[in-house]
Parts: sequence; structure tokens; C-alpha cells
Amino acid sequence: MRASWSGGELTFRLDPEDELTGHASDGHPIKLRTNSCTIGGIPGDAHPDLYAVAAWTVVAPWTRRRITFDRPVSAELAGALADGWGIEAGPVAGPPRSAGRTLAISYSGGADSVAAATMLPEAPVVHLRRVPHPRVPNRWSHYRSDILAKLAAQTGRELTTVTSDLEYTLAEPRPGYPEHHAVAAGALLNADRLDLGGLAFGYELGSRWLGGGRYLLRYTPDNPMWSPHGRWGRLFAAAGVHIVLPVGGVSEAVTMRIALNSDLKDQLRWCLRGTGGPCRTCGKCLYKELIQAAVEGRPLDTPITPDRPVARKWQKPPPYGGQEMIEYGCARVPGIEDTVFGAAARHLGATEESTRWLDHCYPKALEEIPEAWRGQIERYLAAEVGFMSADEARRVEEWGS
Amino acid sequence: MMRALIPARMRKAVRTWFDSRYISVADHRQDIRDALWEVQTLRREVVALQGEVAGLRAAKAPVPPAAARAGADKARLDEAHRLATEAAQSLDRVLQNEVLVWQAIDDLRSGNLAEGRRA
Repeated sequence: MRASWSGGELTFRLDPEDELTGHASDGHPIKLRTNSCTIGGIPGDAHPDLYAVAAWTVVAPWTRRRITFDRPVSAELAGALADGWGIEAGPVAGPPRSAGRTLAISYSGGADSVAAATMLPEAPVVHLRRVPHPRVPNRWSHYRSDILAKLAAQTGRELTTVTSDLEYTLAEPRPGYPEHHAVAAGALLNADRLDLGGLAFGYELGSRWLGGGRYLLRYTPDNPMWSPHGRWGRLFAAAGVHIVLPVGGVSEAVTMRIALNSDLKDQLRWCLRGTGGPCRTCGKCLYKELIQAAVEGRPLDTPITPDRPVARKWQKPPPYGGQEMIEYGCARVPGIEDTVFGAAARHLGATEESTRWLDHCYPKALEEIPEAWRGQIERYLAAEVGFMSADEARRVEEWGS
Repeated sequence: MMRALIPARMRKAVRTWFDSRYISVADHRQDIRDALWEVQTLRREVVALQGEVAGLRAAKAPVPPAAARAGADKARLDEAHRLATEAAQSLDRVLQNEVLVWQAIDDLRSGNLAEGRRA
């Protein structure tokens, strides 16, 4: 793989051993569409290691043996690529980037990143806005990135919006991040300007510790994407931008509760389709409605019926992606048996008692937060959420076994 | 009542004077016949016009029922969607082939293939 930058435009060429098909770090098979993308809203003088990590978030799945950058990377960064992926990176020269002092938030506007932003009220936020790719017909115009960017601008926070078409480099399954970390490409290239030492993501307990959406029902202390000692954690650290998960120890019920009570609640939006509000008809709206109804202790309010395609998976037996939250919702929403989640509720048989651990913070998540920011996050969690007991923490560690 | 003998000449003069002031029965008959003819002509014209209106109404394209119209719209939409999807998929393949062509060109430039042939 050879990656070169011209301003904000990344172009990459395949070496003989590279292929159009690959796997994201979570194991999902993906396919390349085209070999260029542009990131807008970035300075022109970022550290070479930042350019390298930003490029790697886009090209990693297609790279088999080596990567050649258009500017030398530090030996430390090349080492992180060699250790993590077995990839030979070069040319190597120059000092590594030293970590800055600021923690910024990778902000989408959904409940998880709003919760992270609420815990860190002083932190600047970076929003990645999807824009069309000049070489790819946009058949996904229902994805309202303009609305999400507008809501982010209304938060009143110190905001950096970067634009990118990098999601269109992916042909299959659909436009999206080649690696989950590509969402950080714009923040990485702004890291020198913002003096970043860490980037906070909204990945919560399910994504960090319970296997997330794509691989199910597995306790994942060594999560390759989000653990600090995993390959991505070490790579980001080598570029002086630590991966920080302020809500990594709490479930989506907790992030929902924090977000709904936040100063940012009017800008809260997890739906990618709605314009004047959430569309209420997509799969994500249905999933989040279950969590919100559980948190608010009210019946489910959705126009979606069991015969709709978005509700089909809930008519089948588990496992489900985000199953811990389905259990949490089914245990708490009044009249759940007569809703689209009725079949799932019968299969899971969850109770308030059996899902109480999801109301508290998993203490090990806190240990992963760099010391500079741990105190503030710990104080917030202690005051507003509370920590899991040993028995509750065991529920995390025995998840799926 | 008194009767008086009036000389024939004078009577004639008076009658002529009266006759000059009134239309004759024959003329009345003719007028009525003319009016009747006019009415019949108008009736024929109205009938002809009514025929023409009916003809125009019949000539207008038949309005299809709403369901048929919706079906035609849906077919057009489906066709546009099919074309858009297939065009985008074809373009994907063109873009992917471009990546592969550059891969091959770079490989040739670096001499790998030439060495491979010699080997």
C-alpha cells in the first residue's frame, strides 16, 4: 500500500499483494470501491505521524504486508504498525509526536457522545460531517449529515467540524467507515492545532466490554478496537492521541439518562434520517426508543409494527446485537409483551433484578482512562451513576458464557 | 246608434288610409312563416352544436382510474430505481478496476512482472 496526501486529499495505491476485499478490525468483511477521499477543515501542517494514522484508518483493511507513506513516520509509529498488524511501514525518520494537553470529544450528537460531552463540559468537540464523493453517485441522500452538523453547531461548545467523503471508499456493505476509527481522521489531523493528548469516543459498555454489535455475547477485555492495550489503542497513543472512553464503563441506559438530563438535550439526535426530529421509523430509532422508554418508565411509543422489516430480527430468538439493552428494556417497559419486542421479551425472560448491573459503571473501565482526565470522569460517575458491586462486575465478565 | 250614408269614394279613401297603417293578413302570414323558418333553422343549428359538443366530449382521452395511474407511476419509479442501482453498481466496478489497473501498472513499473517472466 502506498498512501499520499495532497492537502486534505488522500490517494492510495495497492501493492501487488493488496486486495479489494478485507476485514474491519471487528471481523466484518468489507470491499473497497475507490482509492481516494478528501478530508476538509484541517490545517496543512500536522505531524507526519498524524497523517499516517489518519490514512491507516482508511487503508488498513486492504493492506497485506507493507505501507509506504509520502512522508517519513517516526520509528515509534512504525513500531506500533509492526506490533499491531505485522505491517512494515516506512520511510522511517524523525521524532514521534508528543501528546498534547487537551482531551477533545469525537461528537456525533447521539446519546453516547452527548453523555461524554456532558461529563466533560470544558472539552472541545470535533464533528465529522459526511459529504458526497465526487466519483460516487450518492444514493444515500436520506442520511442527513447536514442536520447533524447543524445540531452540533447549536451546542455552543468549542466545535471543529471536519468534512469527509471517506465513507464512500467502501463499496460493501454500504458507505461507512473502513475501520471504526476513521471517524477520528479529521480530529487526528487537527490534533496539533487543538493540542490534543486524547480523543474521547462515545463507545459504551456494550461496544467496549460486551462485544458490541457485530460479534455477539462475548466479554472482550482485549477488544482490538477500543482497549488501550489493543493495536488501535497503541497506534493512537504512538501518535500522542490516546483513545479515551469516558462512557466505556456504562450502558446505553446510563448514557441515555445522562443525555436526556443534559444541557445538550435539545441537540440530542441519534437518528441519521430525520429532519425536524428523529424519523421514528428506522431500526435505530426503534432500538433507542426501547431504551428511552425503559429509562423513562413508560410504555413503548412507536409506529413500527412487527411485520415491518426493521422489526423482523426481534421476532427471532436471540442472540441480538446490543442484547444487554434489549434485556434491560424488556424488563422495564410496561406492556412490552404486546409490542414488537414481545417475542424477544419471552425469549430473554429478563427482570429488573437481572439487569440492574446495567445501571452502574464497570470499575475497570475507569482504570483505562489516562490519569490526566480520570479524576474528573470518576467524580462525575461517582456522583451521578455509581459503580458496580463485585457481583455486578462479574455479570460483565461472565457475559455470554 | 246613428247610421249615415258615406259616399263610396270617401269610404274607399278612408279604407286605403287604414290599410296603409296596418299590415295585411297575407303579410302577417308571411311573417309568421318566416319566423317559424328561423326557429327551425336555429333548432337545427342547436342540434348540430349539441352533436359537436358530444363529439368533443367523446374525443377527449379517457381518464384512467387512480389505481392504474399509481401503477404506471410505480413502474416508472421502479425502473428509475433499477437504472440508478445498476448504473451505480457498474460504476463501482469501473472504479474498482481502475484501482486494479493502477496496481498492475505500478507492478510493471517496478519490474516485478518482467522478472517473474524471466524466472
